[in-house]
Amino acid sequence: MDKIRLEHVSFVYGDKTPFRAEALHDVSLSFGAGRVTGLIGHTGSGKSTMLQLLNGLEKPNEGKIYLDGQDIFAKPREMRQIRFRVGLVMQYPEYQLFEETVRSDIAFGPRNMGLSDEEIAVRVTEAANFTGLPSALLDKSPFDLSGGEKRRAAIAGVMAMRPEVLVLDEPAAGLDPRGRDSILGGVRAYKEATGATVIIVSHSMEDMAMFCDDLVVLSKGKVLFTGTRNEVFSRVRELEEVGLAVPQMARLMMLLREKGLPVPENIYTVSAATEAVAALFE
Amino acid sequence: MSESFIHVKDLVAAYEENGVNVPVLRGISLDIEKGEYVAVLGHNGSGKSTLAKLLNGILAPDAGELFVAGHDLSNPEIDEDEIYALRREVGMVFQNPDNQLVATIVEEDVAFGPENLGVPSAEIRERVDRALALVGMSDYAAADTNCLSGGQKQRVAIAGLIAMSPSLMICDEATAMLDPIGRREVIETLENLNRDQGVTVVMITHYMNEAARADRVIVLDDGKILADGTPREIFSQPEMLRAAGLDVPQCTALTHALRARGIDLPGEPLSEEECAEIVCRAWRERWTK
Repeated sequence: MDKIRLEHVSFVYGDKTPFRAEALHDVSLSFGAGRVTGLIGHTGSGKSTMLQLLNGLEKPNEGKIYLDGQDIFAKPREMRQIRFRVGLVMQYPEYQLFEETVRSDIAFGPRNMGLSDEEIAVRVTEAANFTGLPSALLDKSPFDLSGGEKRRAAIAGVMAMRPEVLVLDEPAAGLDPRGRDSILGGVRAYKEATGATVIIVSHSMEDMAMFCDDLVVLSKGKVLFTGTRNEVFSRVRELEEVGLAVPQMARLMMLLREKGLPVPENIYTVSAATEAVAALFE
Repeated sequence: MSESFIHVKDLVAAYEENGVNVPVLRGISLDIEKGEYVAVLGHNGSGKSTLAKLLNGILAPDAGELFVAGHDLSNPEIDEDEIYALRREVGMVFQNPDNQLVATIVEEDVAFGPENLGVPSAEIRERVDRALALVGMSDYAAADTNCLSGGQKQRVAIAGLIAMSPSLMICDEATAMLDPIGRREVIETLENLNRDQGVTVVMITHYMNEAARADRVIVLDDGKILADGTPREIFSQPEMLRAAGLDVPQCTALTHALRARGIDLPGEPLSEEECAEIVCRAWRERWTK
């Protein structure tokens, strides 16, 4: 079932100016309910623009966007509700922290939703748990946290609204391996607890291979192809042709196949690759 | 006085937080020769950035020896002129491409450093043109810096340093905020400078594939040096890397996992091509015996 559907969506920056640039051109696609979908593509391929359309932050010049079958732009007065249902975590969200304490920063979203103080407290604790923020940090100033902790606090602020769709634009960019694992672990925990639909952008194909059910490949504002993770990553050469990487293990398996070794397709992780190669020697 | 280009011995650095002394570097020793390309790995808080700032005289050491390009930075009496002389030789590239450009036009930004050094204007022109050519940005000389991609901005920042003819380039996660293409542009630029101009490069990163291309890799953990060797030596120790909170390159992890299963694979592959080669050869041998 589709959670979000885009129909013939086009988006232009600076229309009717000399700087006109078309970011998305006639894009139609859907995001499955309860699925984790990864968006991949170069800088400038339209990924971030697409994410900003999904919760109505930007309005397409052409086409329609449906959430649960309902046109999100049909009733402008309900846009606030749409934004509570589709939570967007932008790139480097830690720059958006502003409150005096981490607790009140996370509470900002639920407070805007008009929830009771008790409910807000529950949401804050829950979101801090998802992202693995220790409760001792909640009463600190967000500016006293480390970079990774700030990022988790900012993501917790979106999770506290309990969005049905969680949209994340490169949530692990610039973090070290531990920081990245804790952020992605937090998103997974949120998804498992709430059954939310997740849409995520990342440049790390290894992370995408581990994390996503489905993938959408964007190139120059158009959808190049979509499919399950296995369908998309089996097209190693096509992805390389448009300058995108594939997971390292997928690439290794392709090289082995080209050398005549009978290894199976759809291998993206070290553990799966170990099993597949070990089987060749038995 | 030491012979090495960079000489660090028992170096200690700490900062103060709420009156408490927090040690960051707890006695590290290393020597780097002119022309080396060194990658420094370590998780956040391991002391990598502190080391970078010490090498450039932004921070002063609390104890130990620190010589960079002939300047004794461990001397507490060091005067400002010597620090300026050091910074003329040591260029630093930071993580955020948006924080490093000072002018709105690319060539003006690159000229900023030599202008401040009092270089005659005809020579500034030459230096700027040469620097932009070296980073592959000549076509953008008159472009607005705000219209560049992240990778292009970092290359302009690097050109600004080249125009000051540094002998050492320190990059503090200079590729962390870039996409894969921008990352490759910056790394190739640094490799060319190192190879063709003999610039010494110290590159702080947490991308294993970037470290794999260096001459030498130093792993920092909790303010100490955990390992120091060639990429092959370092990546043959997956347990050490994991203990330091770092990723193990996937080909290394695979090779070690297969060995644990009793499959005899020689060498330490650093790329998918090398790994495929090793596996393929072992497989042929296995079935021809």
